[in-house]
Amino acid sequence: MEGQALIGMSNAEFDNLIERYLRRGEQEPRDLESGTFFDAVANFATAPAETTIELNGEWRQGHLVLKPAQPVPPDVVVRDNQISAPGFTFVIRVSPASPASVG
Amino acid sequence: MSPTGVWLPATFSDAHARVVFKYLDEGRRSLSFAEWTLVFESFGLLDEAIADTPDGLRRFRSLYESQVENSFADRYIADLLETVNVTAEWMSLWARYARAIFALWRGAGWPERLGPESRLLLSYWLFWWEMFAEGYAFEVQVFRDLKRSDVDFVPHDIHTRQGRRSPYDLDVLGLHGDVKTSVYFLQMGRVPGMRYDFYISRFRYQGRQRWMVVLMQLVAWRKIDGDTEATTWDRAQLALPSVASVMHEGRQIILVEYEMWKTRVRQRQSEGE
Repeated sequence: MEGQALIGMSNAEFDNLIERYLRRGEQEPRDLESGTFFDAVANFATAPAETTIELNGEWRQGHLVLKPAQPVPPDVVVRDNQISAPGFTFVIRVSPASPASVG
Repeated sequence: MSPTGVWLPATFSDAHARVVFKYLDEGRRSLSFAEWTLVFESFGLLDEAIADTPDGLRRFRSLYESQVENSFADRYIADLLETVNVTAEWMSLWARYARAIFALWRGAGWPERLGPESRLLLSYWLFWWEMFAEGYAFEVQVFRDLKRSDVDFVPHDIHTRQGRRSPYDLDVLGLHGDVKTSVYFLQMGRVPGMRYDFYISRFRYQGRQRWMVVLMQLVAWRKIDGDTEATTWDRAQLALPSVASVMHEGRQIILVEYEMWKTRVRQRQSEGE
């Protein structure tokens, strides 16, 4: 299957692929062409400046594990019980419910 | 249990695997806008891929942080800051570190442990390393140029991980801005949009010609002010070096050529804002 090219190739072919990738990267300019750049900027500018990210949580072996319900921006990292966004890291600690706190 | 030691997210399809291969095999210039979107989707999905490691099951994202970022990021930044001509030297510096990542992957026995799907782990590491290396090379280039050009600005501290994770990259005239490669705008997609007052970026025109530009919110532009030429995104490049103004879904966004932006900022700063 074509989708399996990376998995199906021999070790030598894979090494060769990586070497080509590295050699090309040493020479090829990275910047996007104007058409793709402005398509991307238009898309970016369309989005709201603020967005709501929903997180789903579950207990795994006694630890809270949070997972975003949809893709998150690259500068937001959600891992276990921590949420990192530029300038902030939130650590979520949940106390076991006590009878008095049950609403 | 997967016999390979790698668990891919169920939504990671053949199309995702194909575009990862194409990225490595043919390079960025071969990618259409739609393929770029798929590239970011693919590597985003691989964040959640799980590998069977000597320390238990670990996500690709977590392995990138422990194996690549913790080992190489601070050293790369230090080396970048040692370069005389960052524009000319960063690509060979990137390649030197990328080769070290390749050697680490092989030397640590990931291929034997995880099987052929370990190649997706290496692809993931190399992709995000390239994004990191390119992004900070551009930042260093811009910060050096602003300093040389006598523009007053406050950069964030890129030496440490904590400093690099500051909310924005620099402060000019009390405005908050980011220095971002053109690929960043593809990476960000639609979530979330323009949060800062301005973005310094760069793109190519007809292959060879390079343009450095500043995208500004209208409120930021008003601090500098001047005539603008109304245009659309598909004609924005043609408006340069005049200041282009694009009305986008009821919002005005200003595109200024970088040298002109610096001149106007300096002028404002010499007037004491």
